[in-house]
Amino acid sequence: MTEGKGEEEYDRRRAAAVRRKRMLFYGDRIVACVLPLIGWQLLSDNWVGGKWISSPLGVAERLVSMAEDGSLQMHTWQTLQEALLGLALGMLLGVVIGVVLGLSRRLSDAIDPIIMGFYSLPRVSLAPLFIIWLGIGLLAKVALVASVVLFVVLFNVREGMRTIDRDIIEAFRSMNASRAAMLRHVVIPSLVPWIFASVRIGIGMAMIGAVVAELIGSSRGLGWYVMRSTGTYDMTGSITALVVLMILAMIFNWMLSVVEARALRWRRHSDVGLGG
Amino acid sequence: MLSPEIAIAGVSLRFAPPGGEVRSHLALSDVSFTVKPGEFVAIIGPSGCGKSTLLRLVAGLLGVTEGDVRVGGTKVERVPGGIGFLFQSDALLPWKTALENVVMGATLAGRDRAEALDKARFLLGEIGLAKSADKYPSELSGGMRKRVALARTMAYEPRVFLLDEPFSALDAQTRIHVGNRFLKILETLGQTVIVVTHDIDEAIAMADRVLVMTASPGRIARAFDVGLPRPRDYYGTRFEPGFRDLQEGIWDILRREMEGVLARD
Repeated sequence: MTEGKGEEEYDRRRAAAVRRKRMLFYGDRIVACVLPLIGWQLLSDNWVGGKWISSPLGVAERLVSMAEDGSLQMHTWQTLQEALLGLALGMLLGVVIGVVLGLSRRLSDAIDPIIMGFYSLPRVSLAPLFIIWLGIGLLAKVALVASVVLFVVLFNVREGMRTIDRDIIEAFRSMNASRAAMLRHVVIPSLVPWIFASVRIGIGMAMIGAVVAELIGSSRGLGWYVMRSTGTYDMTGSITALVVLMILAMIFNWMLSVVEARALRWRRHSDVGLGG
Repeated sequence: MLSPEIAIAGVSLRFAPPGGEVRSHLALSDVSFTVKPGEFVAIIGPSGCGKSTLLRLVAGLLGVTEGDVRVGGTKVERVPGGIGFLFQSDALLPWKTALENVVMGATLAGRDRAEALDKARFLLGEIGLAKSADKYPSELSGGMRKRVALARTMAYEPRVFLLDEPFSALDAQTRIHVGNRFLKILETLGQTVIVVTHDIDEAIAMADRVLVMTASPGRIARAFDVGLPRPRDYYGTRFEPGFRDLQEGIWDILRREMEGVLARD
């Protein structure tokens, strides 16, 4: 009896300690967000001037007015489409090419210089070509984003193919597993952690790709909004667009962490899902 | 007389080392032996003598340079059906639970999902892991993973079990515990088994016949018949009369082979 009670008491205290720790953590996070905002506001009001660095209140007002006239949604949706479609296309191509190169050492060795050549080429310099080929709309941006993301995925997947556990492959071969079964049960699942790693990097690259493409030639999107605002010394406008970009990236990373923690829950010493 | 389940005749294997060096390495030299259906054979030899390689030849994972390997009377040219290969590492899929790993074996043997699940649950019960069915390999101990790997192999319903140093990664106590379970199960199944090991006691305790190999290039130096009664105990068998004579006889050959290796180094 007494033992049971002691255990209950212990569990209760531990749960309380965990709760306290979590509250403290969220408290810290809020302070870490709010303090810089206050500093920014003060700096803007008293020393530097809103003309140069705008202000948190100014940005908030702009967000509201842009949301009201629908331009916030329109620009965000444009950039979001470019980044996500480009990311998806780059991932798809990267995984397929990576798997093929991982399967054939010979092919991989043969075209390695070409791949390295394209990889070393600053992909941004392809933007004008894409615009000429695909027009000033969505397609050119998607193509640029894909060309940026592609290589990260490709290299990760190729490396992943080379580090698949040999014993597992032999075990499946010894049980007469078909090529399809091997791909489905061994190869693809082995690649999942590598693919997650490349998405994590790919998200940031996709945002860069989309914004750069808009800077070079477009008529809408957050990157375009930054450029147009800067052109008219509207600092509040450009900072507002940057804030939206930042929030988008944060949401993506958070979502990725959640999905990753679920998909890779078989890893015991999981280093995933700890914020993001 | 029964026709042999496994027949290895005049097998040699030459490795071309990677990197395009000219000199190749002779791993196995003129190895011949047969294994009767239901027979339990242990292969023992100094490390690097090619005993694991020999298992891979039987499983069709490697091809011979000379000679031929037959399983069930058919020449091995690809991976033959009905071979259950247990690796030194457990070779489980880390992203599948214990249950799903065992299901894999039954699925690859052509069972449908429902049958495979039933079979996997039954086998996990047999090896004493019913409660751990939904755990991932990373949540299981080394001995438990070994048992799951055995269950997966059993789910594949092989005619021949090939065990490559199955307990070498386990600590001494776990090895006795897991070894005993394996031995009981394999004795009950009564299938043909070849186990490769570097542990003399283990070889004698488990097998009907112990083949001792020479140092590289591996040949069969001598075969010892183990006449000890079954069912056996993985640990207790070493106290049976006759065990020590076998132990001494095998060690005598191994010692000479190892001295040869050391002298060469």
